[in-house]
This record gives sequence, C-alpha cells and structure tokens, in this order.
Amino acid sequence: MALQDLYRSAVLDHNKSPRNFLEMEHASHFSRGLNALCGDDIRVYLKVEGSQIQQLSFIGQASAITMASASMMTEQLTGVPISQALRFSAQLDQLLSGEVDDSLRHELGTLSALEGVRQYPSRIKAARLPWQTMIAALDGEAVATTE
Amino acid sequence: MSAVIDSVNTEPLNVTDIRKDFPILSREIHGKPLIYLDNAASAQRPAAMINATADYYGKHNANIHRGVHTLAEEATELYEAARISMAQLINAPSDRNVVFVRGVTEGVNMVSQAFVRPRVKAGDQILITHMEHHSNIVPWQLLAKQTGVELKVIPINDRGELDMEAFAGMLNERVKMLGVVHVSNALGTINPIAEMVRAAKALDIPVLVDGAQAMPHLPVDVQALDCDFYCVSGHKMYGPTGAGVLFGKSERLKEMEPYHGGGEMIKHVTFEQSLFNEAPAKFEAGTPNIAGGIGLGASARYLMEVGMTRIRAYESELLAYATEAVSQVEGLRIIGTAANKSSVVSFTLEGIHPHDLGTILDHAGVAIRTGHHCAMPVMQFFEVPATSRMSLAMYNTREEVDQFVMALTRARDILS
Repeated sequence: MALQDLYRSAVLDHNKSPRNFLEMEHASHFSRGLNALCGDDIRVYLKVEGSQIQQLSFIGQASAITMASASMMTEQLTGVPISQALRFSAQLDQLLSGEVDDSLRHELGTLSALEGVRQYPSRIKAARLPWQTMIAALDGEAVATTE
Repeated sequence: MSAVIDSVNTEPLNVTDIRKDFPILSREIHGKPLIYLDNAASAQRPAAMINATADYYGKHNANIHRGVHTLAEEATELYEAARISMAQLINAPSDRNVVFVRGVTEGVNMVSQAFVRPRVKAGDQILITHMEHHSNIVPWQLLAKQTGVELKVIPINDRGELDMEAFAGMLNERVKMLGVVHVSNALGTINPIAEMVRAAKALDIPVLVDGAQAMPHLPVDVQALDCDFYCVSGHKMYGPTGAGVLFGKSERLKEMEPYHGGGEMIKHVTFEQSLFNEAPAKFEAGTPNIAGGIGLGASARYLMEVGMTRIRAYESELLAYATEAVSQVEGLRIIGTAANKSSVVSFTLEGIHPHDLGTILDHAGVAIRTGHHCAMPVMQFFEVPATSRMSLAMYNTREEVDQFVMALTRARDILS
C-alpha cells in the first residue's frame, strides 16, 4: 500500500485547486453532506433543467479525498442527464469496493484516480460523500450523512 | 484519611524499562516501528494486565459470588481483589465505595438516572462545562427531557480553561448536580476539581467527576478532591475495554437507587417485592465483566507499582518537549493552551484536513486521533470542524515526538 496510490496527482490537484468551488445562486437543488466523525462538511448545488444537470458547484471543508471527489464530480456531471449521473455514482461505488477492470476505469475517466481509496476502508465514505449529497439534493433531502 | 498509594521508587521513570512491559510496542506498522500517540482514545496494555485476564480464563474461570466450588471461590477472590486495588489507586475510603461499571459512560448514566432523577423537578438545574466529552453531556440531556431540568454550561476561555468567575455566578439553590471533567480529552486542560467541589459543597450541590483522562496521568485522590462521584474507564488507564469503576461516597451510594435490576443486586426476591443488596452489589446486577474487572485490578496494581507521581513527572516533561517541538511546525495551531495541562496536544495544520494527516502519519507508523474527539461543543467553540490530536502516555519518548514532527512535515510536502 503506497501513499502515492491514494494521493494520486489528479487527487492532489483537485484538492489544491477545486473546480466549481463556489456557492451557486439560483440553484434548483441543494443539499449538505456531513461526515461528522471526520469533520467533513460540504454543500452541493445543482441547476437541473428537465432531466438534465446543467450546472454543479460545491463549497465546504473536507479531507483531500472528499474535496477531490466533489471537484471531479462537478466536472463529470455538468451537462449530463440525471440517469447518467446516477450511473456514474454506481460506477464509483464499484471502483471503491467492487470489481474493477479497464473498461470501468475508462468510463469513469478522471474519477478513476480515486481507485486508490479502496485500500483505505476508513476513507471510502469520504469519497462517497459528495455523490451521496448530490443524490440527496436531487431527492430534495436537506442533509446527507455518511453514518 | 490515608494518602494515595504510590510507588516506593522515587527515581525518575525509566522509559526503556516501561516500554518492555507493553508487548504491542514492538509491532511495526507499514514497515515502521509503531509510534502510538492515540492514548487518549485508548491506551495500550501491559503484559501484567493481559496475563491476569488470560490467567483467569485459563485457570480460575467461574462465575463469582455464587458457587461454593473452588473455581468460584478463586474467581470471586480475584474479582474482589481487583476492587480493592482500584479503591487503593484512587484512595477510596473502602472498596465498598467502588462500583464496577463498563466505563465512565455507564457511570454517568447511572448517577444521572438512579441518583439525580428521583431528586429533581422541572426548573432545577444541572451544571456541566463547555469542555465535557459527550458522555457527560448526553446523559444529562436525556434527564432534561425526562424531568424538565435545565442544563447549564460553564463557559471556557480561549486557552481552554474554565471561566471560574462565571462558574461562581452560576451556583444557586436550583443546581442539583455539578458534572465536570477532571482532564479534557480534547484540550488536555486539568480542571481545579477540589476548588469547584468546595464551592459546590457550600450549597450542598453533589459533584460528579469524569476521570477518564485523569486516571492514567495524575495521582487521583477522591478523598482529597472530596467529590461525591468519580468515574473511571479501564481502557484509558492501560486496562481492559468495557471495565471501569464508579466511586461514590458511602451516603450517596446508600441514597442512590438501583440502576439495573437482576441477580446479585438483591437480598431476597418474591413476586411482591425485592429486598436490595447493599452497595456496591446493589448496582451490579447480573454476571459482570469478570475478566475485565480482574484485568483492571492488574492495571491498577501496575500503575501503583510504577507510581502515579513518577508518571506525572515524566509525562509533564514530555508534554513540554512535544509542545515546543510542534510549535516549530509552520501553520500549526495548538487548540488548548491551558496553564495546567495533561498529555494532550490538539492542533490544526493550515491547509491540511485532519483525516489526510491521520492517513499520512499512519504510513509513518504514527497513530493519532483525528476528528471531533466526542467533544463537538469544544470544536464549535474554537470554530474548527475537527482537530488532530497527539496524546502521550508514560511509554512515549522524545524520539517518537521527533518522528511525529518529521511525519507532519512530510504530510505538508505531500499535500501542499
């Protein structure tokens, strides 16, 4: 188990310069994601039109894994149908705790940089948090927690 | 009133010798020697404790206070000897003042429900402090919900010390209990318990002390403190998990109602009514954690042999060294800078989330705690979501502190 596998360059880059890291005005959907144990606290904003996610953003304080996952998520899901967003979420789950092959990595693109997290069971929740929060926002739930 | 039993040895503590008593310290983590700095979460165990537990299971296993056969008598003797050892460690007047519980959490819940609840009405007050562990907050909130008592919180200052002036102003006839932590797990602050008890006693307010973090680090003398209740968790004092004690003054234990009902805590049972046993049996329904109690007794004897005064002296020096060393790390902010502190250094490192730090340190063999430390109001006071915490024990060394600081620097290199 090497640290470099967890903190891959893409993860470090997204943590250091998170994309779409801002509060969204006129969001159609919003939720707060809490991982109380770790002290992760993020807010995810979406602008949805019809069945399509037009725009995403997030703010908050969280570990590098959560920050990177959230930042990558906002890039990955922009302009994507909700059904596809849910599919990506399920694929991320698979990357973190299921069978992984090259076609999965290929489909997930940048997100596959989170693969190293699977070796750190205590950190999987951190990678999942932004996605749970995104789904909670779509479901109209105010808060998502990892507990 | 006899003094706390301390070691006859007054030489400075020899950490090399102490380390030999703890088998786990020879472990490697990720190919590096283990540097265990998470002692406030749970301490490691000396061979004396591990062996005592194994001996009970391997040679003396039986239920206690019941059978007349040899094993039952041996087991009972070992268990009651452990009670005596714990009484000696905290200088209780008698082993009858020592109730075996699972730990501080159970102790506080027991006092809250069995002692305080029958004595309060809506509008009465319970005083606690802003630096309590959740275990000394939530039981009182449950009580508040049940009875309508109000929970009042003694404030702290920026150093993480109690505001004693505010405390004095909060004492009044409506206060029915003061619950206070002896040493804060999140800040390391040592609170002036004896002084607070004196002030509370002037108004006949009973005092419960959460001693979870104090017991492994300080000489504790419940008679000198003069508190009504004192709670100890075994696993923080190099003992087993799920074993601890609740000390209670004799008259308080007499007044307190049973908490659990069942076997052992009764003298006589009919379907109409039961006659309860006397303390401590009154509070120990059912077959207890026998091995845990016996292990706890072994840890207590180990601590008395090493000597709490020597432990305190060694750890104070180590804490000063660690505080100085981490202060050199750029961007590091220590949370909790009380004048009177025990072995805890809580901190934040600019730009680095505690959980990333925890993972990176683990790769260097260093175990620390990251998160809210079950003291979320403390985090809220200092406006941080979480902190990283190094907590020292008698077996930690200056070299380990140096390694820890190097690992901090490495974390900074990786993440920024």
